[in-house]
Amino acid sequence: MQNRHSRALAVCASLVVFLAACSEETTTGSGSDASTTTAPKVVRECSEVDTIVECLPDGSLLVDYAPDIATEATGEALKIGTINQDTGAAGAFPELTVADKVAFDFLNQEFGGVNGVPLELITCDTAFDPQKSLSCAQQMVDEDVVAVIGGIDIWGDGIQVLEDNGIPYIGGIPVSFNAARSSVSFQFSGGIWGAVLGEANYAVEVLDAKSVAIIHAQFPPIADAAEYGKRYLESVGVEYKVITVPPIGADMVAAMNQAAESDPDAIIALTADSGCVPTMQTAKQLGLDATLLLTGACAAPKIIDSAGDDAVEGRIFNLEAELSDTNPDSALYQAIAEKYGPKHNFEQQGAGTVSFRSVMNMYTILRDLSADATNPDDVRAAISRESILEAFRATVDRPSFFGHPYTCDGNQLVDLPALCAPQQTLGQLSDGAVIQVSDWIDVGALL
Amino acid sequence: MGGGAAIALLALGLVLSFKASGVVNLAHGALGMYVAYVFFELRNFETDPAGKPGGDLVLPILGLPARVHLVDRPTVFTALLVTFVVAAALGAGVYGLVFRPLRNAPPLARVVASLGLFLYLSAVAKLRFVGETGQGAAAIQPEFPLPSGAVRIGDAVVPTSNFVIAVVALASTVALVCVYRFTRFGLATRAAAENEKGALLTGLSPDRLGYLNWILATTLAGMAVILIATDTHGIDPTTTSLAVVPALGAALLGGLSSFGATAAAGLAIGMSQSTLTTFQSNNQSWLPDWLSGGALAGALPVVVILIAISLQGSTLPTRATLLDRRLPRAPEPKHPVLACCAVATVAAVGLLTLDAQWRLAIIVSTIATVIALSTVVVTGFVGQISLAQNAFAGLAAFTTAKLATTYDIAFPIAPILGIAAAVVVGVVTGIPAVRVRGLTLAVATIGIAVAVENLVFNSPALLGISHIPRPELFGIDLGLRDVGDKNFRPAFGLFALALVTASAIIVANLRRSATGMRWLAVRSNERAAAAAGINVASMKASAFATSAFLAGVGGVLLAYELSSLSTDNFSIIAALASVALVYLGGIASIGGALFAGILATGGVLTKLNGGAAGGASQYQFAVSGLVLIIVAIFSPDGITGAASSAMRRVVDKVRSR
Repeated sequence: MQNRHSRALAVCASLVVFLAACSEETTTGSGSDASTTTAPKVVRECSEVDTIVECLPDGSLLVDYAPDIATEATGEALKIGTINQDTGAAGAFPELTVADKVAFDFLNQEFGGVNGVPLELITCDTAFDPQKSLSCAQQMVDEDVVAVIGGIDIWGDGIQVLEDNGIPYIGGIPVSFNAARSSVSFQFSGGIWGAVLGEANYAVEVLDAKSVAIIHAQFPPIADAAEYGKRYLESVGVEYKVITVPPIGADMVAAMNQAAESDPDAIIALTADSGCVPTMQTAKQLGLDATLLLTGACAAPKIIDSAGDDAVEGRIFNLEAELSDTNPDSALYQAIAEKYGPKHNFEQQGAGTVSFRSVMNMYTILRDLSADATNPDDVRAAISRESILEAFRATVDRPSFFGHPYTCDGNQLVDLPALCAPQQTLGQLSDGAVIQVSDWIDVGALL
Repeated sequence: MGGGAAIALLALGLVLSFKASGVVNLAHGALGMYVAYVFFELRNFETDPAGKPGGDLVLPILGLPARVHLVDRPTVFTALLVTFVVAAALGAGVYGLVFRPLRNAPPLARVVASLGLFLYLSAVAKLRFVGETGQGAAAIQPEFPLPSGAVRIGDAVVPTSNFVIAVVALASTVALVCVYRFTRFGLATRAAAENEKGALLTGLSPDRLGYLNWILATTLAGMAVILIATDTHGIDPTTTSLAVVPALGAALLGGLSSFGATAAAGLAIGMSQSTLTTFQSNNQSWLPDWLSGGALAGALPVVVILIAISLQGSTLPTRATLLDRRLPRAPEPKHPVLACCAVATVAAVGLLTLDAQWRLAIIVSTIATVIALSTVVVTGFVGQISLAQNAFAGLAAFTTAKLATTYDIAFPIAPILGIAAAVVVGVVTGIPAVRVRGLTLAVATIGIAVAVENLVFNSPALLGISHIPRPELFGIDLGLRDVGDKNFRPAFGLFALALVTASAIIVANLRRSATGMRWLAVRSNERAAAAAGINVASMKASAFATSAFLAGVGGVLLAYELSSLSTDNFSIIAALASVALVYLGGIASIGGALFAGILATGGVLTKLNGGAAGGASQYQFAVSGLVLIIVAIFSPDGITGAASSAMRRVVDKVRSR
């Protein structure tokens, strides 16, 4: 079906999850390979205790910040905002805001907030509306928040308002140009740009591809990311072909046929989440020989189930995480989700993990800023918009919650200064489990 | 081939419903989409006996239970049977409740009703098939037993399922040709379509024929979408519904009467799109850089359609097309300067005294008002149904942004050039309007909007435009942004307000002038207008130019308001919603435009509701669609028209005492 006449509303729904999973992969596998993920042992050991703080997994990002015993924060709170598309005719992603709430509950109830000062979450729903994005940002200004946790904001218009007011925009899913470029934005992901570079590099270096096809959805940030892929392939002298498809409802048969005409060794498909199943099934149906590389969102369990085992076997995805059965941050995440999630109906798998990473990374910065404070007033005095901005801009290889260390010097990926950790890992689906097939790829060094 | 056959299948249903009721049903794809979802949801089960049993019938009526469980794990046959019953009920219901009452209504009312149906069905499908499950796009996997595998034809690998769809399209075409040529039912339908009164006199029931044809059309649409969605492995409430656009082109090329020609046109459109896409991807080296991938495929068939329908049309309508009985009231504005200034003063006071959030809401409503005003001129005053107003606004916005950011062209030159670009395209859009009108023109303007989107908005040259320099005039900063609670500066709001107020006054005076009278004359009867010495073509062109100018003003303001521009700010869905709001307000009155502005998302009404779209937003489109249908049927003058009529009645009553 040729749906070339789309799409304001439906674009959003897909892109969001699509880019979400570019940042996180939590698929657990049952395969026998040592590098597949399984439930971390640490969590099982902690299941009998009352508080998580008493049995924090060794090596977790938060270990150095944990009190000896669980401590609840009280008193006047430090306001942190979050802007996210919680509702909307084109798709709703409340799990990001819910993840923020779960993380805040944990930090306030067990970590004593920030040196005794509780954190208060101010939420705002963009409802898939650019004007509401502006309105939400102004709400954050009016509420006098010290920082905003990013969520999913397809439009990203509000980020300009945050920039004008010097409010840090931390993490979330960088789906807009503003999120990837603003001077107050700090992203622990390579977004779609990192994904395409990582996959193109893998195709060239590991698959030894001489010809690569890039199929991308017609949406400005994705089209821009495809340009990054082209530039890299040009620079290494590999032939390429670019095929554009509508974000939703694309005729993947036609797209795959166009790709196949150049007899590519690898096909990188930058489709929205609704394009994942058609892409994988069409490739199988047409019997293409080329290796198919997709975005991490396509490895989501619900999509894998929908596509069927035959269609997903051997497909490669970007991950932005090291899969390991003993990852301490992953263990901590699951423990917190299990204890504090039910109150908010939080589902562990999905884009909420990105929010979690954002909150935890911000939290360690807040703690460092107020390390010398001896009372709540000193804490509040030490934590300001300016001090947070300064702290993030000074980061160099700072550990990230379940991700690659980040450096917010604005130079990690050309022309996308807000992407502090664009490095990628890739995973391959094999016998129903995701197996990590690459080490970290420093995509910033490719261009 | 698959794409072309799919377009042909949908187009056949469009011809059917047109034959039955004279309606070019913009919601035809949406009807098919809903029916297909019903089938897939019935079959959405797990084979494991302990797993999900499927077999749920999802009802499309808000207020009723969302789903009724019929049977565990239905077979394909059972599911199809239930689906066809649902399709029949839906087709009959839509005809009986929506289009039958509008049989003699002006084309605009029918277009608006089909828009309302489109919005309602796609919103309900989102709520009940996608949103409810929380699984987004992967919620339902379209599956119908089609052969798997593929065959190689030359360089292309063609899925076997494409051949099945092509055979179904061919068989449907042959069957429909035979039915409508050789059976009593078919001959009766043709007779009723040609002369309804005559058919009645000979004992035929146009109503019964209408019901039967709508049932057939909806069932065919459902079957088409089931096959297409299975073939492409995807279904989506919005984009699947929009598959009606190329199908409309095919149906128009078939003259909305010939099944054979329609099917052939569908195949031709699909194949030309495929050929152009391949051509563009194989010739990237010499094609201009600014052309986005898929631009030719998206745009050129539209151009072909426009040329075809323009050639088919005539400069003046025939007698048989003079169906309009009751046109929306176009009240002559009394004291327009006073009225516009009074409203502007209230808004200005709000801008100067209220907080930042209120200022933003007023600015949003102000901009939406001027875009709505453009619809009032071209559709309300001149009767030319244009769904390309957002495209005009987008052209002005993107042109302004590009000139200001890349070429450093300062304010106000950049926005003036932006508006000029919109006017040029507006006048070009008016060219088909000289020869086509009513529903055909609506389709043509959708086509133009699609072409602009593909050729311009998606161009790599316009990718990621942001940080447009602040507007400044005579040293006065007219920019929107500031820090803290000074943000959404009153200066920008007052600037926008001044532009929109001036526009409204100009439109009001135009309405009162000789030009306005000529516009209304063209709207009510083109032949009579021509007989009275009015140059119909130039009147239409002037209306399109004026409306594009107004939309351009709105687009320019948006360019300076939003920090970055995207195609989706000016999408077709947004255009449909905008027309819907103007119609609700009153399509032929300036008050209607103001009403649409107040109702715009993020505008004053949103703020009055507490500023949060929140929980209400998920029902917003469904309720809007429903209200639109009701207004189209019962109050073609819109809400402001109904209110002023009620007011007049009260005043008359008081005076008579």
